[in-house]
Amino acid sequence: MSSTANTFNICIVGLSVANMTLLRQLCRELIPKQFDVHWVSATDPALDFLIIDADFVQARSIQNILSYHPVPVLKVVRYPSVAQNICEDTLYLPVNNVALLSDWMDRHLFDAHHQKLLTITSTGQSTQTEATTQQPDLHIFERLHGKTLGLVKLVDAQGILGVADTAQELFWPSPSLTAARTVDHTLGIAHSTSRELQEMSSQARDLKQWIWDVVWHSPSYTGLLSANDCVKLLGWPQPAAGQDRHDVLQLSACLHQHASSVQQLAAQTHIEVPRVQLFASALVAAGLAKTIPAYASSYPVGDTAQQTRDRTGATGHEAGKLRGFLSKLRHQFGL
Amino acid sequence: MQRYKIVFGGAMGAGKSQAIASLSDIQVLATEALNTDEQAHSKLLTTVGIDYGEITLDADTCIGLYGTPGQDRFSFIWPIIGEGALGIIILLDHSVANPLADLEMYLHDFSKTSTNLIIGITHVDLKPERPISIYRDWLMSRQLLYPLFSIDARVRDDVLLLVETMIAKLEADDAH
Repeated sequence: MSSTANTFNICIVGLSVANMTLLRQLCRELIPKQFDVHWVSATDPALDFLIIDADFVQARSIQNILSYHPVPVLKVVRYPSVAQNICEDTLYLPVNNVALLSDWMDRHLFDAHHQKLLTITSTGQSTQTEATTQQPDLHIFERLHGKTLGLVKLVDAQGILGVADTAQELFWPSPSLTAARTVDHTLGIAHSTSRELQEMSSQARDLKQWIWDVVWHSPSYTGLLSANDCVKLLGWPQPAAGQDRHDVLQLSACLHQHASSVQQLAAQTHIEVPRVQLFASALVAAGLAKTIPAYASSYPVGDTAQQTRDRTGATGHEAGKLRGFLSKLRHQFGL
Repeated sequence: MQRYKIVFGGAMGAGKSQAIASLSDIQVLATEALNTDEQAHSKLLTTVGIDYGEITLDADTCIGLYGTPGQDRFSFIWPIIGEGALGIIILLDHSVANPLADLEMYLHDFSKTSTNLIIGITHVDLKPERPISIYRDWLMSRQLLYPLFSIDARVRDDVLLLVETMIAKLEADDAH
């Protein structure tokens, strides 16, 4: 079942039939009529709201689900022990004051649902107004590199991108995913299922490499790092053919030598700062580089090529000969 | 005449001979014999000496492409072949039982000869369930950093990626 802008997917766990029926009725009454209410299982990737017997909330299976798919949780205690009907996300039965439940749902359910629609819109209904004011961040990628999420799907305002196995660092693209596809701040992750995985392309890709590719081609990620941020290379990205390849290898080779700031890297390679910013942002998003404090950068400030040759004993003639040779080699292969 | 050298190392069946053939201007000189080590690889013929190909850049400049024999009983010759090379391209067969053992062995041996090592992972399609991340994780856990790409040694552009990486590293070294 998919999450849509006018649907609430609710799961009730561990309650008696009578209490479950009562809470279903109350939910239907308190959720505005323009929203549909669907009753789903706790593992449904489109889950919006979990109502659960307080005794079950610490169960490992429930905590697992909530760890990768955090949704508002209303715990239910069957025997009255406090005067208030709702206290600290716990509803005490019987329900004497519906207004308190309504207020809780306003604050937790509708706010969370609204936020979810800003980040995960699998129906293609875009939230253009919010999109223009929001910047992408690294949080989503940090979660993907955590290895503990298991099977998750990556979605954005344009639809599903694919399914990732974070433990194996594999990614199965959606059959409709094109090489030119870009992403923006609407990128989000949600729990996925084996059934969804079967609907993806059977050809798995390396997750880090896929993230690098998609961010590298997504200009909205340029500002993820600033020109002053320092990065340390942890692994080389694999570039596609063409002009991109030349720049990516040149930038990677320079970073391989020493960690440096975006600004320094741009100066060293004569590639414009925004392109280097996007390169570095894609590396960090993919987990192929990490940002480090400027003082930890090993960039040899003021050390020119000539000074280095003096230091290493290489002569200018030898260096010139090597440069000439490499230039011929590039020409030979059209590189 | 200036002569340069690029070396292709790696396990039997990883695609060294194929990679050299995809770049060489001349017919590759191969020293193949019937493979009697079917436990290591099922291919019919294997290189027992060296493979040799050549790229002629102009009347004064030539690059020799050397392929080392894959079987580790020939490991004594690897540093001899690697000596003075512009770079060493290590090809690893992703489909073998323990490719990380191969990675460790070839890095150990070739890193004594050259700092310009490039790693190409081949036959990825034969073991799709095994993630490429195993190599990256292995290197990162040892704080090692080498360019590492998955390639098809039969595809010239894939082999050129490894060569272009080697050039980019030499250029970066030269700039500093």
